[in-house]
Amino acid sequence: MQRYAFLSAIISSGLILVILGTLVIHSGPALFGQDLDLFSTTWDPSQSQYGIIPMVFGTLFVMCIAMVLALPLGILSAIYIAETRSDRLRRILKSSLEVLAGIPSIIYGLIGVAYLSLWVADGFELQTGRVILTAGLLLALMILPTIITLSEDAISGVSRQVRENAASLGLYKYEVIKHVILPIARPDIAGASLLALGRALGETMAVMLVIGSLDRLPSPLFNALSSSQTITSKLGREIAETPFGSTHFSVLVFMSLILVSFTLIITLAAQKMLNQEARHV
Amino acid sequence: MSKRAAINIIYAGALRVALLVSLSILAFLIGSIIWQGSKALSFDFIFSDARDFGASGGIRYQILGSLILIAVSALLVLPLALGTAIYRSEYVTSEKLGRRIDLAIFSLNGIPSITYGLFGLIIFVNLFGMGISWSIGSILLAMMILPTVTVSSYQAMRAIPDSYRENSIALGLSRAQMVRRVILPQSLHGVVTGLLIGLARAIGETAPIMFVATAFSGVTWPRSINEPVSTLPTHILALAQQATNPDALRNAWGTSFSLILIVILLSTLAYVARHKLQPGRPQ
Amino acid sequence: MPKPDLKLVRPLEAAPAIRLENFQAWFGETCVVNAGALEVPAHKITCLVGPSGSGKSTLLRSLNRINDDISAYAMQGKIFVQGQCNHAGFKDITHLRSKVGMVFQRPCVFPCSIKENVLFGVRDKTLSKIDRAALVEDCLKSAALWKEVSHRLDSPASTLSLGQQQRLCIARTLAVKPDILLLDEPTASVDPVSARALETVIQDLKTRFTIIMVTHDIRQTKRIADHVVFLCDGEIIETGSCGHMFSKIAKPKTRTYLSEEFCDC
Repeated sequence: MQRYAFLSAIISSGLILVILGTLVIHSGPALFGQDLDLFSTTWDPSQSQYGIIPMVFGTLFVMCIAMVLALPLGILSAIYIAETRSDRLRRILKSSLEVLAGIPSIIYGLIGVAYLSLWVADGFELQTGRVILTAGLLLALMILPTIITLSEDAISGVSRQVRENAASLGLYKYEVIKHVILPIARPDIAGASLLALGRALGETMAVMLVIGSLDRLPSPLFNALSSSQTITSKLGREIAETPFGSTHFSVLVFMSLILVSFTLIITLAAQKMLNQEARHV
Repeated sequence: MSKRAAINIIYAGALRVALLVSLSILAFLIGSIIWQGSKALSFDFIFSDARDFGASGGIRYQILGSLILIAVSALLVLPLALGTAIYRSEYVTSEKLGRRIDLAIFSLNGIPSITYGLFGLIIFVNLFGMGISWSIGSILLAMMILPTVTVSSYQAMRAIPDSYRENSIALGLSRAQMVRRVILPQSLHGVVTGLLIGLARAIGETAPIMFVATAFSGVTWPRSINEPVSTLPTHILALAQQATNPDALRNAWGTSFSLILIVILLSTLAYVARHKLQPGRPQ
Repeated sequence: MPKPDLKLVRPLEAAPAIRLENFQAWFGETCVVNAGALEVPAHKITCLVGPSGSGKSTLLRSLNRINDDISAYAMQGKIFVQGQCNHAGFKDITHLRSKVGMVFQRPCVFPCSIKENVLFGVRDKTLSKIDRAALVEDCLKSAALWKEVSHRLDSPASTLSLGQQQRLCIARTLAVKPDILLLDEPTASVDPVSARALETVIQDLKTRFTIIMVTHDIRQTKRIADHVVFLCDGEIIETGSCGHMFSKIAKPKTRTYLSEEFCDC
């Protein structure tokens, strides 16, 4: 029994190292093989130009749009749900949110293709609705249930005692929230937001279908209505068509390594925040 | 009216507006899936073969392929997760080692799904020369849900009071016997719940399997472990890419609805398992 | 339910600080308090006593409407605070609550410094720094905490002992300048020495505030109460001055309970 358990633990713990090791080894050719200008803004494999900046920029841009939209909306909604007097409303909302959080991302992609991109195209009179803004909106929809559910948990986790003490001092509801509840729930809300951020960064399917797949920086730079490319959509589109062992493939692996480093740090930080205990008064 | 009272009213209004926006988004998401999906879904659709590149016909083999993938990944992940959880809960004595194992396993959650696909492509398809085969998909999905299953099992094991362990040892059971007779039965609910939640997530994953385990058309059931299958999420992907064709789009919704029904079924089972399999313990 | 028989002892010099008319409180389908009428004299210590579950806390918590946030709670009848209805008579609920301060059973300090805790309910932005410091000192002195904390007003409130925290909670409530203080078993979760210290504080406060206090401790009631309200099963059995309630002319039920025998209501 002990030997079996030990072996399982070794294998499970080793997986992450194997994955990271594989990525590092296979990004080697891109990093050391030739004199590649990886951090340039031009991506053109036929000219041996592998600039990954457009993809990195696209990833960050889409993520920012998603967070800017989903975070305030999600936290405000979470406050409402946590503070409402109606238990029934809370139960119904929480269970439908959990259903939504479990919807596979490819279905969000389908919604993006069937509705969102058409609406964006119509609304802004574009030729194609497959642009950065659509991807950001879609990601915002995707992470909204996660943000609401986890923030609601954090806010309703603050004990009633604290609320009553604050309310009995003659504080308005918003003052109770702002000065008491949010400071106490902040680490949990931050953890929830980081988790959502990690998910937004690593999301492939939904983004890939609506981003438009253009390997260039938008012009002007912050034009959310131009097509773009994220690291994940780049990987999703190109890995299968790229010959294994080529420089092109290696650059793709390197991009994946960058992405993994980001999401790993964010996810572990989120985990750490959510795991802090004995903080509630 | 004082400034504070005014802010309070604005605040209450902002909360209402936010909730209303969120609610309409939720209603739109759920509504569109149910509305579009129920139009496409029928008995025939579920039980017939796909034709015309998915634009007509049904999704029989896609359902089958998805179920094969998650069934085998369940078989792969279960012994590994169980063993890890047992080791972590019953054999690890140093806090430091425990935290390192936790870190390593949590990290798997931080790997984007597309990276699993890339990893599978490098290791299994190319280095091991397995070609595109469904078994790779099962392995990758098993890796992805390993943290979920392990953590859920481990938490159920930690919740067993130490008095159970002390009493079993006092009765002369060896540690291995104690694990078999006390720990495993008492933590069954956590194991099953974690597994079902993991599978509910695995069956909807597209990115890890789309270029290592699946083919879009012309696939029936696999006759060996080195063959591709067709699955629900990759079918949706293929149909979504021909979204200008209304027939393809309709079938994409039908496939999505079927997929969601399976996900909800698995999640409901997980919920039931958590509550029904929970052992009664004296307070 | 039969109307409770009430003996009101009204001090001649002052109008009642709080008056209840046909008051009932409900949790869902259960009536937990059926108090009918009650008057609480101003500038006295009124103790609500009675066995567990008799509705003392619910009654107390209805006075500043802190129960409003509990989903199953509902009330009937009227409560008048200084002659004004506590639902319609105040501009909004925060005005009521700043007139009717409350200290709870378990001390609950906010995660900030001692000074910030005292000033937590003071939302008047125009107050100068000097006034604030004076207010902090004044409130902490009234709560008999000044000597212990004057040198470390900026350290976190959570570093105080439980008894000190409870006095900080009192100081915090005083800073809002209420007229009435509601105390929900304020000494129940602190050690006996701190409890005595709190009792002294409470007695000193009655010159400036009307104090209504829920307590389980009958000896404590005897020590500090001017006026006693005895509740059982949600009904007011008897009210009267402390001397009356602990004398032989009190009702048998009251006598049984107050002589610390088992109360079988």
